[in-house]
Amino acid sequence: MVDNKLPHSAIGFSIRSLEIERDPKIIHAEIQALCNSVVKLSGLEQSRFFVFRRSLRPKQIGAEQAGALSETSLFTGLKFEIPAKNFRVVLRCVASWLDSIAQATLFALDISPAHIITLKTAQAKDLAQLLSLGEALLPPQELYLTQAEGYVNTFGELTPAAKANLLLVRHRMGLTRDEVNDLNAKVMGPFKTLGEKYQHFRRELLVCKQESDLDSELWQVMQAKADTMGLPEADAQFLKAERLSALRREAERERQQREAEAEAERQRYLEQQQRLEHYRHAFESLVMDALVPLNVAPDADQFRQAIMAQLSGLEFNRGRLIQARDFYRLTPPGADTLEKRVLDELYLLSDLL
Amino acid sequence: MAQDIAFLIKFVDPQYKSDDVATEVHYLIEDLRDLDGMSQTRFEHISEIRDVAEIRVGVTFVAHSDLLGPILRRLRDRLYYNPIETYFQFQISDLVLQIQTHQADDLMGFMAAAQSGLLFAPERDYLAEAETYSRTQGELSPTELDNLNLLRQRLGIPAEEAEVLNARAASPYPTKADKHRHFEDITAAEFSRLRAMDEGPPFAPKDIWPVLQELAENLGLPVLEAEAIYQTHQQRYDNDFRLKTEQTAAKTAEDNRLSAAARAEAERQKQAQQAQERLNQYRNLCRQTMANSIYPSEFDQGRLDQARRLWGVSMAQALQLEAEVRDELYGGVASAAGVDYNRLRTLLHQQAWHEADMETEVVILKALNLDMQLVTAATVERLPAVDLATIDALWTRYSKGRFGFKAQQQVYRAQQQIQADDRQRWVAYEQALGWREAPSLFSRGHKPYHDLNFSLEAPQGHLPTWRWCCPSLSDRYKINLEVMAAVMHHLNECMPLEAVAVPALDTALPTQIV
Repeated sequence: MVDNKLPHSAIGFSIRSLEIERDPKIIHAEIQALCNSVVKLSGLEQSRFFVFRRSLRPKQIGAEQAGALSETSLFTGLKFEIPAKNFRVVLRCVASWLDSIAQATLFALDISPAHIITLKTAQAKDLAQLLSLGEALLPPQELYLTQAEGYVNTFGELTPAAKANLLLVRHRMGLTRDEVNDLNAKVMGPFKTLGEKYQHFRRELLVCKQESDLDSELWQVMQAKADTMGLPEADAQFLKAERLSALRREAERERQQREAEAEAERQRYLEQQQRLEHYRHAFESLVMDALVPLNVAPDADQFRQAIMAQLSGLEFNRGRLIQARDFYRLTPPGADTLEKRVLDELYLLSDLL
Repeated sequence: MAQDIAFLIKFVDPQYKSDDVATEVHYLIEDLRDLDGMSQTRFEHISEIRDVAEIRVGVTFVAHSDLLGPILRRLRDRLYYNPIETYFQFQISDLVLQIQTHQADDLMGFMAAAQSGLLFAPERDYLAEAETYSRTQGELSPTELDNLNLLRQRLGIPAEEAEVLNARAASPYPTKADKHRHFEDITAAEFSRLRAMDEGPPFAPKDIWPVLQELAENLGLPVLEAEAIYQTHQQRYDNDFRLKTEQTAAKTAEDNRLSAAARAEAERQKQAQQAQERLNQYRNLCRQTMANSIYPSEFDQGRLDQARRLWGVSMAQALQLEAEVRDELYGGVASAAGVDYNRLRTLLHQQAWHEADMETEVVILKALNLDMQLVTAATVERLPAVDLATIDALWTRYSKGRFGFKAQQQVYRAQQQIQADDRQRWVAYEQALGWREAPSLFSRGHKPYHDLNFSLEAPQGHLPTWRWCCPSLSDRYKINLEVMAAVMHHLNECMPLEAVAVPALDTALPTQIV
């Protein structure tokens, strides 16, 4: 759906049957048929439709309701607003309808702000007059500009289909190439393509370094920027979501990095513990390999000294001990503490045995 | 072809006083009557009751369409100079235009339409016909154009003007084929735009059909036909997109697979590297512990043993590494005959030349698988080249080139250049080696084995002796010439000397036998 924001680009269209003597049900069916044909046309999604009833004032209906009215409220006419750019297409649709019924009908066009055209006819051919006069009364540049703005507000740029439609407008309204070039440039603003607008807006959004930066206050400023540069709301929202997603990813990455660092620190600690544990095993193994029956030592200190003397007494064992300490990169106090603990445990065990 | 137009002009500004309104009506009529062709026009006043008095608020009149232009210009000028809110009504046949404004510009559109002549016959009728054809048939086909041409002639419209009217009715694309082609081109361009957008960073997705539908309606192309064209392109685009997505997914999967394989390979290499590093570390430790002695001290053996356990080096690997390092530092002990040369190496390392010489005999006999049996010229040839090279290398290494088989070969080569006679050459050779003295009247010069020189002061090639060739050493160190020749021949076969300059002979020693 193409955005049509400007209300003054709308044309009021009313159609009323003048055949008072005809069967009201037939007229009702004809008006329904007309309504069904018109609502199918593109660009009329936002249009409001009213029906005229016999002796009743016009009442608004939804397009889907048009076929579901009871016979007690029979239609005599239809009134609706259309964007000016759809004027020709709608009029052709109405002409085809008139071709099919060929009944005297009153057509009224309300071209704001000052003009009303009415025509009574039963011949579709006569509607060509409405077309000629109606198009002549529309301001060509304003019409072109409104339509172009509608495309830019929707697509952010003049797409090939938009340009093709605008070319037909230009042709119909008798605008020169220079005029439309100026109008196109005016509509697009400083950025020539949607890609450029995206690039610029993405750069602007980079000021937001964290999710909370993109609060409603800043977003209002950004929306104003988007509006100024002719970036459609949908695209601005898309880029906002993209930036938010990137910020979330970045935050997640930072969180993971922090976790990884904490994990690495934990690993380092675990490795240190593991090293001590391994050294402990190595030392235990060394002590067990070197152990010879000892007389019961009176206390742990003497037991320890005796065992260490055994270890140091043999060069081979001393070599093993030095190599193990060196391998686990233990400081002498660290090694001493651990060895003391092992030997104390061993002393306790020896006591038990 | 002139036609009457009914005019109604009424001043509706509520701020205007009754008298002023009446005056304005009067001036309006005067202004209009001034126009050419309007002098005979009959103006009817429109009156209203205001404040119980009837006042003139406007005027109606009928004029020919030829006068529409001048009348509108006059009305515009009046509004321009006196912008009073005014209601205008123009009736042309069944067509009624109402304008209520105080702005002169609001009359411009009607002036343009009046000037174009499209509101009046014959242009109006021609355009109506062309519009009908364009709307109902969807084109101005040759048949329709023929009909229009007949109409043109009947209405007396110039051909150029008819062309303009045709273009106005049928847009720049008069035939169905033109419209179809144009729509097809524009649809293709739209999808090309989408494809180009897909190449770069993402864009918000948008539905392009409404604008294409609008184009189809503007062109007068049946919407179903247009939708079919659109669907064809959409299908193609979707297929391309799906294919691209599949290719990307396949590539990602392949990349992931390769990446996993690369990671596994990297892990395998890392493990292999770690294992190699551990072996290298062990090798370095071996070098460190064997730097000063062939066999590590007990302390160093303890270090090696602990390192082997910690680095996860198997006993076999450790032994092999230790052997390799020992060979590297102290000379290889390779043997084809399975002989252990470690003792010989140790003795040579200790410079125990005499013991080393005796150990040399032991290992050579072992290599020949002889147990104190006499070595003959025939058995000599069974000495493996590898073993000869090992023995030579060890002697050469620890004597810094003074001793060893090569030193002996070099001495022999020097004698070859001096002595043509075989017998004399061998005698001279033995003398050069210091194995015998010059023959005298009472002695042939043979020395007892214990008189040989077991020190580095001994002549070049003095050691190792070839005692393993001697039948007995109790009397004198004498080698059978035939065996000696066989040994030298075998040495030259197994360890050919390079063509280098012959080293200078030790002139202090005799080279000639008497």
